[in-house]
Amino acid sequence: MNNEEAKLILQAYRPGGEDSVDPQFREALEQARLDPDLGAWLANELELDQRIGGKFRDSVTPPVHLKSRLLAQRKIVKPVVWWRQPAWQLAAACFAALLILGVFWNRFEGRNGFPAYRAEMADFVGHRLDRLDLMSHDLAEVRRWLKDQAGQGELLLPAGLERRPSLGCRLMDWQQHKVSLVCFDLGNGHVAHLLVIDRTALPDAPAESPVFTQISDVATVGWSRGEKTYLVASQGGSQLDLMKLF
Amino acid sequence: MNEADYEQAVSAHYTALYAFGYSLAGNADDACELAQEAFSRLLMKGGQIRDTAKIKSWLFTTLYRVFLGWKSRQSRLPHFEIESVSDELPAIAPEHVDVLENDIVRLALLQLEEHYRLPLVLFYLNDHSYEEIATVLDVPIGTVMSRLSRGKAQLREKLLACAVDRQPQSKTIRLDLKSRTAP
Repeated sequence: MNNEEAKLILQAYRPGGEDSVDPQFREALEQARLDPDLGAWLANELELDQRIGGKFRDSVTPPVHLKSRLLAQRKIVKPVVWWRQPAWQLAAACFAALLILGVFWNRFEGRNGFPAYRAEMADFVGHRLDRLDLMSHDLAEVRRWLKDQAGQGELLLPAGLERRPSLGCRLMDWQQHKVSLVCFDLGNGHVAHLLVIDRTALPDAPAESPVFTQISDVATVGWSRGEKTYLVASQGGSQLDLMKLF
Repeated sequence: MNEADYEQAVSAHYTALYAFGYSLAGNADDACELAQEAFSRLLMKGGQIRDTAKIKSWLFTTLYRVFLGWKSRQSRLPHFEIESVSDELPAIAPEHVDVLENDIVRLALLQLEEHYRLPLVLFYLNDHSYEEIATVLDVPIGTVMSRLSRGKAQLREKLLACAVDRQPQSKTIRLDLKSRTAP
C-alpha cells in the first residue's frame, strides 16, 4: 500500500469506533505510525474532521417536539398481538380479511382480463406513446424485426391492415407478457396501433369475431386468431375506420 | 418490538436520524416527517429485525428509502459512478474551521451533490462504520471511500472560501487558494 492509497483509506477513518479493528484501516494506520509525513497528515485530517463534524452536528439539532412526537407514535401505531385479542375481534378480523381477499381477487382478475388490457393499451397509444423502436414503412421489415427481436411468430392481419403502410414498431411488456406494437397510417390523418399479445396471457381473450369498443377518444377493435390476440386502437379514429380494416 | 425497545431506539437514534433526514431533504419539516416515517415503520415491522444491533442501520436505510420514494415521484434520480479519486484536498487548517459558524458548515455540506453529501453526513454523524454507510446507501464500500474523499475535498474547498472571507488578512490562505489545483 503506498501513501496515496493509505490516505484514501484513512480519509474514511474515525478513531474510537469499529474502524480501528478493520484490517484495512489497521494496515493504513500502521503505515501512518511508521511514516512521519503520513502521520502528520492523518493528525491534521482527524483534527479537521472532528471540528467540521462537531460544527455540523451542532448545527442540525432536531426541534424540541420531535422526540415527544416519536414517542407518542407508539400509542398510535401499536401492533397488538393476535392471541391477545378477544374472540369476537378475531372473528371480525377473519371476516374482514376474507372480504378484502375477495375484493382483491376480483380486482386481480379484472386487472389481468382483456377489458383491462384494452383500456390500458388504449390509454397508452392515445396519450403516452412517445417513441418506436423501429421506424419503417416496410411491413415486411417490421415483421422481420419483430421475429428477430421478440421471436414473434407470423402476424395474421386482416386484409385492410395489410394494405396500409406501416410506420414502425415497438416491443413492450404488459403484466410480464410481451406485447408487439405496430403502427399503420390509416391515410386520413389517423394512425391505427396494432397490439399483439399471446392469447394465453388473457383468460377472457375475445373470439375470432372482432369486438368494437370506444374508450374515450380512442376507437378499438379486438379479436383473436391462432395463438395471438390482436387489438387495434386509433385515437381520434372512428369505429367505421376500423370496420373497413376487415 | 416492545415499548421499551422502541423508546430506547428513539432516544439513541432520533437526533442522528433527523440530521440525516435534514441532509437529504434540506429542511426541518421534511426531516421530521422522514424521521417519523422511519420510526413508524419500525413500530410496524420492528418484530422482523432479529438482531437489535441492526436497528440503527435499519432505521437509516428505511429513512433513505422513504426519501428515495418521495423523490422518485418527482423525477428519476441521476446515477453517478466514480471511477477514481483525483481531487487534491484543499489546504485548509483546523483553525480555519474555527472561524466559521455552525450554520456555515451545515450550508456548505448541504450544497454538495447528493452522492457526495450523504456518505459525508453519515461519516460526520459518527454513528456508522464505513461498511454501515455502504449498507445504508446501497453502494459498494470502495464507492463510499472514493465519495468520502471527493466529498471532503469539495466541502473543504467551500469552507476555505468562507474562511478566506472571514479572514481577509490571512496571506497564507490566499496563497493556498492560488496554488490549489482546480478540480
